[in-house]
Parts: sequence; C-alpha cells; structure tokens
Amino acid sequence: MRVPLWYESRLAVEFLREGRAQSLLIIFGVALGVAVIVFVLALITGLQDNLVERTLGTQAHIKLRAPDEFVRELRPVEGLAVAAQRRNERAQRLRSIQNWQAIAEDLETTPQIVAVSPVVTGPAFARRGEAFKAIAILGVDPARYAQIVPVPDNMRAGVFRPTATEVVIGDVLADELGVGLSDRIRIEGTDGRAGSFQVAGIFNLGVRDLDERFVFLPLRPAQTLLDLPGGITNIDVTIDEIFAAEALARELSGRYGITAESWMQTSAQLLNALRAQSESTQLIQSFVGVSVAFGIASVLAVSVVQRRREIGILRAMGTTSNQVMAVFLIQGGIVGLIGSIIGAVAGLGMVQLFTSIGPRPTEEALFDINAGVGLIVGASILATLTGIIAAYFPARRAALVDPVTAIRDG
Amino acid sequence: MAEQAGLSRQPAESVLRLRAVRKRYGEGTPVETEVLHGIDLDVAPGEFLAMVGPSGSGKSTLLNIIGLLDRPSDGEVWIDGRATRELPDTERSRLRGESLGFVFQFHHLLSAFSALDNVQLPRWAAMGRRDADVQARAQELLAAVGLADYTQRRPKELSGGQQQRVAICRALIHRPPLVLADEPTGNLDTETSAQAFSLLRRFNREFGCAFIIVTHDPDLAEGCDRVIELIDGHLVTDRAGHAPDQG
Ligand SMILES: Nc1ncnc2c1ncn2[C@@H]1O[C@H](COP(=O)(O)OP(=O)(O)O)[C@@H](O)[C@H]1O
Ligand SMILES: [Mg+2]
Repeated sequence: MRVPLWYESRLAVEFLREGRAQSLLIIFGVALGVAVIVFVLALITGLQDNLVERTLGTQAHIKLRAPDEFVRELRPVEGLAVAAQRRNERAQRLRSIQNWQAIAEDLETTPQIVAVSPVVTGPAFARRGEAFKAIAILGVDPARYAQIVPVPDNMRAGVFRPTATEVVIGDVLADELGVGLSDRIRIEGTDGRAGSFQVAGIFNLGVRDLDERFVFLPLRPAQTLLDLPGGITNIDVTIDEIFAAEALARELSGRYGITAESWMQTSAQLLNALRAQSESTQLIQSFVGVSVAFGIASVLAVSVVQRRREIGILRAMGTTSNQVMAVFLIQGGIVGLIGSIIGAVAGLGMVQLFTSIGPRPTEEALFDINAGVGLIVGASILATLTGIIAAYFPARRAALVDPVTAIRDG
Repeated sequence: MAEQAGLSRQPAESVLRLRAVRKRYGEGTPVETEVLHGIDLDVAPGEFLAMVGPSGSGKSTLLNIIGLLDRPSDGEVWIDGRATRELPDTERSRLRGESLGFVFQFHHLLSAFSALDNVQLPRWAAMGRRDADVQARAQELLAAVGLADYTQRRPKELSGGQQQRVAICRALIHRPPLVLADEPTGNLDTETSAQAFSLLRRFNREFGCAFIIVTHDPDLAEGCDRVIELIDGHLVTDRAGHAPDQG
C-alpha cells in the first residue's frame, strides 16, 4: 500500500516550491549548462554529418580496382630519366579488373552492400572549336551509378542520361568549353580514338575538380574511347553503415584479391579532424557538466543549513534519516530534470535560430527532428542523474542532522 | 483498522518505563559532566504528568531521551512495553512515528505546508501515501481546536496560539500512547497558554493518551494528575497535583 517515495517526493517538491528564488536560480543554471551542451553537440554533430554527407555525396563508399602492379623489372640501369619515362607509360596503360562480372554479382548479394556500379574511367580530352581541355571519362550505367553518387539530384540543366551519342558534363567544363545543352563536343582518347557527342545534361556536384573534369558516357562508348573493350577499371560500392567501410573494404580486398579503398582511407584527414573536434566537444561538455553539478550541490547545501530545524522536526515525527536523504536526492533529480528539459529545448531553439540567420542557410536542417528528441531525452536522463549524484553530499548532511540540537537551536 | 490502533491498543502496564537512566556529555574528555544521575520513572497509560524544575536541571535532556531523539549513556528506556536500547536508528524513527507525539516550545510547523498537511505529515511519513481517513481525522482535530476555517492556511498566516494548536493536532493525529511536550506554552501569553493547556487536558481525556509536559508555570503544573520535579539531574519529587479535578 506504500507508494514508494511518495512522501519524500512530496516534501522535495514543496521545499523546492517554497525556496522559489533558489530553485529557479539553480534550474536556470542547469538549463544554461544543458543548453550550451545541446547547442554545441547539435551543431557539431550536425556539421560533422553535413561534412561527411558532402564528402560521401561525390565519392563511393568503397572503390574496388585492379591490384597495383609492382614494377620490379624497372631498375635504374638505363638511367633515371628512362626509368621515370617507362613508369609513366605504365601508369597510363589502363588495366581491367579480371572477371569483373562475377565479382559484381557476388558484391550484390553481400548483405551490407546497398548498391554496386561498374565504372570504366580514364583520361581523355574534350574539344570544342579552339577550346581544348583535359578530362576524365566515366563510363557508367546511369541508373546504377546514381546510387553511388546522386548526380541526377545535382543537374543544372538537362538530364543524367548519357547515350551512345550523348554525354553529361560538369558546369565548369561547359563554361570553359562555352557549350550549352544540345551543343556538340569532340572527345579524344589518349591514343587518338575520338567521337562527337551532344551535351544531354550539365551537372554541378559542388566540387570544382569534378565539375571541371568528369564527363559521363555509357559503358560501351567509354570502353571504346579508352581502348578497353568489355573492361572495367573499378567497381564502386555503396554500403548501409558508412563507418564500417574500412573494415568491409579490407574484407573485400582479401576476398577477390584486388585493391579496395574505402572513403575513410581517402578522407583520413577529414576523419582525424572530426575526431579531434569530438574530443574537444567532450571536454567542453564535461567542464559544463561538472560546473552544473557543483552549482546544484552548493544550492542544496545551503538549503540543508536553512532547513536544519525542519529536518529535526521531521525526524521527531518519525521520518527516518534515509527518508530525509531521499528528500534531498529527489530535489537534485527534479532540478536536473526540469533544468535539462528547458535547457535542451532552448539549446535546440538556439541551433534553429543559428541555422536560420547563419551566413548561408542550408536547405536541409543541420539535424533532423528525431535527433532533437533523442538529444532532449538523453540530456534529461543525464542531467537528472547528475542532479541526484550532485545532491549526494548535501543529502548525506541532511540525513545526519541531529534532531536534538536542530530543534533546540531552532 | 491499524489507523485506529491508538484507541484499541491493549493497555501496556506502563507507556513509559525508565530504569537508571544516566546522561553524560563530553564523555571521555576532561569536561565530562553527568546531567542525569540515574532516573527511574513509570508512566501509566492515560496519565497526565507535569515535569518541573529549574532551568538546566536536565528536563529537556530527559524528554529527548524519552522521545528516542537522544540515547542515554546508561540505563534502559521502554516505550509502550518495548525496550529501545538495541533498536537501530530506523526502528527508533518508526517507533517515534507510531507511539510518540511531540509538542515543542516554538510550534515548529513546516512553513511550506498548510495547517491540514502539517497535521497529516507524521502519518504520511509512516504510511508513505495520502490517506482519506487521515485527512478526515486531521480535519476533525483542527475543527476540535477551533481551526476549522484555517485548514488551508500556511503557518505564516496563523497567530502563535493558532500555530501551537496545529502542532498539538499534529502530535495527536495518530493518537499515540504518549505525548511529550517541552514547555509547550513557554512562548505564549498567559491566556493563550491556559487555552493550549486545557486542549492538552481535553485530548488526554478524550483519547486516553498519556502526557509528559515540561512547564515552568506552577498553576499549570498543579492542574496535572502528577507532578515530578527534577533538580540537578535527580528526580527529587513525585507527587499528585494539588488542583481539584474539574472532571
Ligand atoms: N549537548 C550538550 N553538551 C553539553 N552539555 C549539555 C548539552 N545539552 C545540555 N547540556 C547541559 O545539560 C544540562 C541540562 O540541560 P537541559 O536538559 O537543557 O535542561 P533544562 O531543559 O532543564 O533547562 C545543562 O547544564 C546543559 O548545559
Ligand atoms: Mg529545556
């Protein structure tokens, strides 16, 4: 029939209500601390997600290619200049992945893999009248490649539908060549193979290097231009768990005996920067958390001194020392809970405000609403626990109040 | 029902029994002093007893020991037939909440709670929940002391005499076998203290609770069934009150 902690909670709530100024002060303190934590956390994770998303927006999660060939026979016997020249020739010769159809099929049945796209790529030149630019040909199956890099979502003009007579090029290249939709350009392979194509679409991926160099063709014409009939230079893969890319790449490399490079390897610098950023955020958070805990503890310690007489009375009326202790622990918990909910909402509001008045409002919100709810719940649980822990020492002092002296000195 | 235990309790032989109770302060230090020198006392159920004596004679010390707020240095205390020396702290708190009532000189209500809630607090502590019977009884008690219209008032909004009446109701909410009052009227003017005292007498008769009342007022003391006098930590007098019983 006992309602656990009902009596203790009742006292805790009434004590907090009575000490209104103190309670509001400490709740405000908790709210401020939590708001700062949530703001920093939301902003940093938002920015990090954004950075990672941007990075992955133009790059495959995992890229498989033919294994590197070690050029052992090249020794500087004929002099350095000759060796360098020979190596250059070798580097320029494209090599196909052996048995790529079987590998691609096998990849498609691998559970973590969401999309697979064979690509043939190599250097070439684009010409239009006097203009002449070095480019990279990408021979792809458009539907499959769209699942690797969302080119169709980034079209400036036309559509992402290269055909035997049509190409899709970047906007920088289009400007440099001075072409628009339906204009013709000439594409020349490094060994003289060439063809004339109409521009079917112009994309902008937001990365200058790609917008300047990428020219998309279907697989077959690309293979012809690059002199690699039926061949594939790499297989691009999209996976479901982006941070599992490195481990999976290693496994695939071992499985097929070819080179597999994950985005985490190519973007190692970015990842290191993100990690360092996360560490400093955690440091800020723990500093704020500790200050909030000290704030709660000191306000409650003052409250214990102020309520010494009342604690004595409660003890005389049969309240046990454990019950008295619980009263103050609960006060810490309540202050943490209310403060953190207010703080989390305020913090998210600040993020919203920040992103809306920021220098460049992004189309997508920095974080989604689910992340927001998760943040509020997480912050509340953490702050409530912090409040209870912070209340421990004041609560113990309250439990140890000697009723005789407390009542006499009243 | 358990809540009516105060009424249906099997009368113990004595609600309070003290044997050779001593209290020393500063034990093991050069300033060790003994302030109670072996007190023996029995209080029968329903007895209305005054404790008198000069200031510093040890009355409060003795009352705190009886009330299980303090432990004697030597000797044994039985409350309602229960030996208390070996009881752990939590059990002593529970026994306090079930078998004892306290009225202090300075009212000592909790300022955050209404008069009605203050009266119910000891039961809330013991039962761990709100209870309709308890609330009804608190209301009755407050009405009985003339505070029917003041149940929702905070202590701040009540006069000293009214506050002390609320405190008396609080001490009696569970109809304990023994109520301890340390100078309950010491802070009130003569007329108000006479009113408060007669309230104690009335509840003593109505509920059959025994009372031990520390007082400096000879008139009030003589209105009690029994008067004990403490001087320098010795129980020197134990006699009947002189005033004619008004029945
Ligand atoms: N905590 C204490 N430490 C030392 N001496 C105390 C303490 N409490 C009371 N005393 C002494 O015990 C004696 C009895 O005090 P008390 O019981 O308060 O007397 P009364 O209530 O009769 O005035 C006094 O001499 C007082 O100074
Ligand atoms: Mg005294």
